[in-house]
Amino acid sequence: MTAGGPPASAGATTPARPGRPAGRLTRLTLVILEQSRRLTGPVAGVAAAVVLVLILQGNGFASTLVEDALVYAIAAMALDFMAGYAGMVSLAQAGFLGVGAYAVAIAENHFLSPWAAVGIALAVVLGAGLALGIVAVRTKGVSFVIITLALGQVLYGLAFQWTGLSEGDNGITVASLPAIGSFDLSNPLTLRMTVLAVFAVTALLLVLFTRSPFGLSLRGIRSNEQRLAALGYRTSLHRYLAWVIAVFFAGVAGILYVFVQGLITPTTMAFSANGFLVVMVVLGGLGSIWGPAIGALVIVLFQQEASTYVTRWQTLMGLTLIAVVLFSPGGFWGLVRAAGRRRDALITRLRGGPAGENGPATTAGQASGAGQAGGPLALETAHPGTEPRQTP
Amino acid sequence: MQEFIAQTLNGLTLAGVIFLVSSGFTLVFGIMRVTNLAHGAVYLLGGYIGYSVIQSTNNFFLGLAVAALAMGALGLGLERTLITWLRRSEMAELLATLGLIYVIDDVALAIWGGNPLTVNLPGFLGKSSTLPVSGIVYPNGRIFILGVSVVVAVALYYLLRRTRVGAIVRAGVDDREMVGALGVNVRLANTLVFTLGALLAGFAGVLGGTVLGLYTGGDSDMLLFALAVVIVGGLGSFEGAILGSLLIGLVVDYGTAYFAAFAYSVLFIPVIVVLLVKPQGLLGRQGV
Amino acid sequence: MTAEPAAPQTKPADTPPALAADHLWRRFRGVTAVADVSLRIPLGARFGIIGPNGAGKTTLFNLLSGELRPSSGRVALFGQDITGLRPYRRAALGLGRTFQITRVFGDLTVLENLTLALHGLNRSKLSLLRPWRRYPDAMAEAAELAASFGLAGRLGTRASELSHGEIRELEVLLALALKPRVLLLDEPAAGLSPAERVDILNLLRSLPAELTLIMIEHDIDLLRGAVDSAAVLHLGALVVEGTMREIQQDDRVRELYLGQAAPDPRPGGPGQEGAGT
Repeated sequence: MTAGGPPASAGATTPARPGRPAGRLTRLTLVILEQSRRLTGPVAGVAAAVVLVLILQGNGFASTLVEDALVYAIAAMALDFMAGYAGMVSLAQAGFLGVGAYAVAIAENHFLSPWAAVGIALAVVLGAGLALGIVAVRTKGVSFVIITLALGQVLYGLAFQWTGLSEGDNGITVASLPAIGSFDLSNPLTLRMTVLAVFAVTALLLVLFTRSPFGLSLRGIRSNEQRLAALGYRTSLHRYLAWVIAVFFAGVAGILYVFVQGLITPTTMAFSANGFLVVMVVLGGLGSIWGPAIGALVIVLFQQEASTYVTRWQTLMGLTLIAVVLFSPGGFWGLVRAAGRRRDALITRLRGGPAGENGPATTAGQASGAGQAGGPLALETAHPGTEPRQTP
Repeated sequence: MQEFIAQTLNGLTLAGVIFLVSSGFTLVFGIMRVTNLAHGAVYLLGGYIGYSVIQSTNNFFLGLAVAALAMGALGLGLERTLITWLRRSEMAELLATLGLIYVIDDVALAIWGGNPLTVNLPGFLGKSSTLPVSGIVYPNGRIFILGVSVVVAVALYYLLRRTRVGAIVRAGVDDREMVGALGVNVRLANTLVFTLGALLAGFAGVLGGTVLGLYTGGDSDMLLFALAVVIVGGLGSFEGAILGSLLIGLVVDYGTAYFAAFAYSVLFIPVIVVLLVKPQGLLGRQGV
Repeated sequence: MTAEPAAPQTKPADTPPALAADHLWRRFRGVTAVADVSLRIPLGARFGIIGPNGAGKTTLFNLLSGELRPSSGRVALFGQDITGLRPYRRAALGLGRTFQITRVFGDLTVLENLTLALHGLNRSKLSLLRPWRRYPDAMAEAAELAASFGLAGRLGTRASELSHGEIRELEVLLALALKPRVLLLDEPAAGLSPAERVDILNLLRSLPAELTLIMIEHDIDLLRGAVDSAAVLHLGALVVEGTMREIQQDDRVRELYLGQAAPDPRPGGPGQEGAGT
């Protein structure tokens, strides 16, 4: 990869603006842009990690906020895996978060140790995902949204009405947190760092999944499921697996949730909570994994700031969602990608037009290519891992 | 036995309200392929508006009328703006209606607060009568709801089966592109159906407000019922909405009465059965 | 002692046909789309399915490839009954197909399109942890496939941005990537410019001889160049089946196509444009 100065290839010494020599400013800009293409991703990632760790060390409002956001981010990123890649937009994700949380709480209520509770919760979430997935996956597109909405409401109904088990509206408090030796989640700092660690592992796993052949198959499903089936793919199985993965991580988020909050109530699983997760994903950027994490931070921030500054934040959020759907369906990450594309175009122009070489291979986590609307869902997404567009 | 009959009547009453809500939802989906998740919120908002009108004027029927018209107007406005702008994508439209739910809910919360309210049935409707045959004493308001639902169902049936507009709507449900190609004013039909759906939802909101009450989350509850109806009855099928409403209304009512812990879950049973056996709904078509 | 192998006698009774349809019927709510169609297509055949619009050709294809279940009748692939199998199973047994309307994966790049196809019959398609770019064999094969049809420079381009002809080529490539034994092509030349049609014809001619090809087409020229025998469908039923020459001289076929362009009666001569509506 060339560093500094325009390449020596023919014609490249003539910049896109004829009549003007390639000035120092142009060369400097070119260097900056090209380096930014390589470095922005890793640098932003490291910076974010450092900031997160620093905030979480603290004890005040910011650390609580980030902690809550990270928990929701886990569920939101997992939802994106299903929705942004396979096109399965689920309005039951908070329901599964609740299942995980309630499983822990109910287990502890029945005098099980915290670790046993965690184990049971994971099993319950997995079981629920496997069982309910059989029904959910029989529908696609809009019908899938509807059936998951109903499912989410039914789960909420269980939490609300099965008072013998869930204590209904009062919810269940969870007092004892897991501990091994000196590693004790009752220590707030330890808990926060654990949440961060689980978040990081989840994010990396999900990103890895999206880059695997399975992840590609999900994008194929979203793009043209029938065609994929003719290529030998048992698409219903793929969708089923995507569902199980997504709801499993929601359950993991739920387990963390109840340890962080110390309490689980049906409200956590109400329709609006399910909707919030979808909003996080859409605002953050469908099909980007990282975007929804940012979306989670924004929504949680609004939620907690509600009482002080913006009482009617839900109206604001609703309007924002509508605006995003109308004007920028790729969400925040879509804007990032669009900026990346413009930067690439600028680089190509500064290099001297179409004779310039191909774009470099995808940088870590950030490709300059953007996924476009496809299939019946036709909502723009921003997929990492796409080859950068070749200028014709 | 009398208890059971009363319970059944309750279920039918609920079915009536659910029918008013779900018929609009299913027709809108059928002709426009629009999944209006905010339909439940429209129901609730209509109920709140009716409540306020009735509180200030003590005129129940005026409340009904204002609620229906106000929600009809809202529906009209939405269809002309948001829905039209997002015709390109079903999913985009659905997400926009999700955003709408938050807006409407929040506005309602701001105006009417978070405490549950009940719509008062003044005068004759507030009393009870003794029913023939069984000798049960039953609230007039509920009988009224039952009666109104049947009347509306018959009227809608007549509208769909016997009028030109209805034929257009039915044809549109069957084959949207064809109808458009025939030069029929599909846009007008769309607007009419959407407005009518919202009007019915608002109307139902006042009725529901009498027996179910108006409360935060009431929109999601009603949306759940409506969705269960269209899953079971088939998206886009009017007759399916009738059949589904009866089934879901009765199931939910019996469920709440006899299996309190599982009232919502019980309604999932017909949903699951239908999804496993005939995913397009009992009266639905393939590929909907 | 040289033992000369006897020339293989492919009597229909000995080796099963590559693809066989037995009295296929398909009805939709009162409309009969396919009526009692039976076909026996031998290994290595170049077979065409022609007929006016609405004749049921694509429905027949859907029955053969599994997108639709027949109301009655059977489909067999190399003697194996596949009537109850869904498309992904048939693909694994060697049946490939291209689609007329639902084309390639538009929002994915050419490389991603090919990668999907190449993993289609592999367990690797369910693999979660290894990036798909780290399968060197698949990547190399994708590059080869693309190069063989002149798409090497387009690997990074989104499929929706390809030209019509390139999309059509990609469509065929996707099907070929699975190394099918029988390939169903649904109107491969529809909507292409004359130059692109020549390309497609050359592409079809270059396909291996062991591959059995069944093609729906309107373009008579293309059919003459690519296909040895054909079946003519009308209103879902088989009208006539035979070599291209026999078909072109058949009276019933002439009648059928009258009003649209009639098939050129002169064998090998310049043909009129087929009924490509």
